[in-house]
Amino acid sequence: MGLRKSTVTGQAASAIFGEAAPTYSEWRRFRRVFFGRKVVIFGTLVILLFVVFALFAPLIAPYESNEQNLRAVTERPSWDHPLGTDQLGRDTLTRIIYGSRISLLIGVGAVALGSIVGMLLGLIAGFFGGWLNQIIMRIMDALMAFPMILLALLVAGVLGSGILNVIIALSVGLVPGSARLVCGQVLSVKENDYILLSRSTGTKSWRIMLSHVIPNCMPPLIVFITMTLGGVVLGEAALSYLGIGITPPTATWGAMVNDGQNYLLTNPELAFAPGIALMLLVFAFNMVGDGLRDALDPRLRGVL
Amino acid sequence: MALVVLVLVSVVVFGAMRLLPGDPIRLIMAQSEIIAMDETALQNLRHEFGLDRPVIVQYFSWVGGVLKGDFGTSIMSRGPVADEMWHRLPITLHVGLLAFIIGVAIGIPAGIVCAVKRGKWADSFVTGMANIGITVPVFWLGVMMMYLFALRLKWLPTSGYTSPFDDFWLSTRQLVMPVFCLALFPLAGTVRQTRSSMLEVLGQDYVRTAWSKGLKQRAVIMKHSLKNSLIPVVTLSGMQLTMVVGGAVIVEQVFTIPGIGRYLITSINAQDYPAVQSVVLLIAIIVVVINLLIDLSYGWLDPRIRYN
Repeated sequence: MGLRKSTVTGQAASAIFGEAAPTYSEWRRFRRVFFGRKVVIFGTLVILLFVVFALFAPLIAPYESNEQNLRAVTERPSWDHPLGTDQLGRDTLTRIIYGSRISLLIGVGAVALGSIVGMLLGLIAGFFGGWLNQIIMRIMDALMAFPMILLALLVAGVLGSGILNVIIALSVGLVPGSARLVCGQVLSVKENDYILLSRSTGTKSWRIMLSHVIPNCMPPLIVFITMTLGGVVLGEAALSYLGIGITPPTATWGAMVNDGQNYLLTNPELAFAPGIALMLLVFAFNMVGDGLRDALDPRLRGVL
Repeated sequence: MALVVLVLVSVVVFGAMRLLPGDPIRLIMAQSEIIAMDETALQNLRHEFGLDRPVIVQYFSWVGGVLKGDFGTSIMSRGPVADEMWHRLPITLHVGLLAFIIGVAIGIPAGIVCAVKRGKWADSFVTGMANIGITVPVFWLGVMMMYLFALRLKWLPTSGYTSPFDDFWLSTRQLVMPVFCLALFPLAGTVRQTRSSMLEVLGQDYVRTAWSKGLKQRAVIMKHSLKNSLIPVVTLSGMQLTMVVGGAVIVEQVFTIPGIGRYLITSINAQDYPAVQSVVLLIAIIVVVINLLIDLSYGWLDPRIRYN
C-alpha cells in the first residue's frame, strides 16, 4: 500500500494546496528493498529462466516434444538423453522444457483471470455496499469454504479438458480471495478525506474508482497475485497428475510424474525430474512474492 | 449464516452437474454394451433414475432426500450413494485428522521456538524447512517417499489401506507415508503463522512489562503471549483443515486409499451426478461445521469477542 498511497495523496494535496509532491523516489526504495535479499534475486532468475524455456522451447530442447523413439524406450540417463527417456522413448529433458509452457501459461492465465474477476466483484461490493455487498460477499464465503483443488477438480470435470478450461477451473478458487482483499481495501480507502474532497467537487463515481480506489488496491493485489502463483502452478500439476484437464500427449509436469510412477524401480528419474522443476518454479514464485510484499507493504516487513 | 452457505453450495453444485456435457445414461450403455436399446428403453432408464423430471423437481427431491440421510442412487454402481460414502468417510477422517493433529501438535511448538529464538540457527532451520514444506508438490513427495521407503529400503508397504481394527500394525505402517504427506502443508503453515503472530505479540507493551517484572521466560511466553498469539493460528488452522480435505483427494489417489477423495475422482471420471454432488455437499458440510467451531473458539481465546 505504501508505494501508491503516498504519491496519490501527494498529487491530491499538491493539486489543491500547491505543495510539491514528495521528491524521493519510491521506485528506488522499492528496488533497494526488493533486490536486497539474495534469495529474491535467485527467485527472479529462476522465473526468468523458465520464461526463456517456455518461449524458446523448440530452440533449447534437444528433441521434439512428442518425438517417439521406440528403439530407445525407458533408457537411463546418457549423453544422448541427459534425463533418460520415457515408456514411449520421448526425451525427459525435452518434455520438462516443454512442460514449463503449460505451467507458466496456466499459472499466469488463471491468476490473471481470477484476480480480475475478483477485483471487479470486490470493487462493486465495496464501493456500492448495501445489499449488493451482502450478496456478493456471501457467495464468496460459500466459494471460500472449498479447497482450491476441489473447486478446480469440479469445474474442470464440468468443462472438460483443454488449456482454457483448466485456466477457468483454477481461477475460480482465486476469485473469493482477491474479491475479499479488494473489498476490504475499498472500504478503508473510501473513508479517506481526499475521496470526500473528490466527491464534493462533483467527480463521478467511476472516476473516483479509477483514479483513487483502484491504484490503492493494486499493491496488495500484486502481492496476492505473486503469492498465489506458486499455489496455482502446484494446482495445475496436481490436476494433470490426477489425469483431469490437459489431455495426454501434451507434456505437463504432473502427468509426467504420474507416468513415471509406473517405472519407479527401473527409472526413478522419470518421476523425480519433473517434480524438481516444479518445486524450483514454485519456490521462485513464493520468494519473489515475499520480496514484493516486503517492498510494497512495509507493515509486514520482517514479521513473516 | 452457515445454513445460507450450505444452501448456496447445494444449488451451485447441483446446477454445475446439470451442465456436464455428457449424458450419464449413454455412458452406462456403452459400458454394459446394450447397444440394441431403443428410444423407449432409454426413456425407461432415464425414468428409473428420475432424470426425466424438471430440474427444479430433481433438485428438491435430492435435497429432501439428503435431509433424511438419503443421498440418491449412484448411476455407476446402482447402489445408494450414502452407503458408499459412509463406508469411505471414516477412512478419509482417519487419515485426515491424524495428519491435521500431527501438523498442529508439532507446528505450534515449533513456531513458538522460532519466534523466541528469532534469527538463531534453530529459527533459520525450521523456517527454511517450512518454506520448503509449502513448496513441495504433495503427489510428487508421495511418489518419492514410495520409491525410497517402500521400493528401495522396503521399510513400509507401498500403498493401500487396512482398518486399524483388523490389523493395527499393518494399518499404521501403511498410514505413515500418506499421513506425512498430508501433514506437511498444515505443519508448514502452522509454523509460519505461529512464528509471525508470536513475534507480533512479543513486541507488545504488556509483554515488555511482564519481562521487566522479572517473570521467568516460561511464564511470559506461556501465560502472557501464547493465548493472544493463537487467534490467527486458529483462523489459519480452519483453512488448513479445508486444505487437508483437498489434499486427501490427491494423497488417496497416490497411495490408492479407498476414501472419499478417491470416490470423488472416480465419480467425476464416470460422470456420476448423484455421487459427485453428494460427495461435494458432504465435504461442504464438514468444512462449514469446522468453520463454525472455529468462530466459536474465538470467544474463548479472546473474551473481548462476544456473540449475541
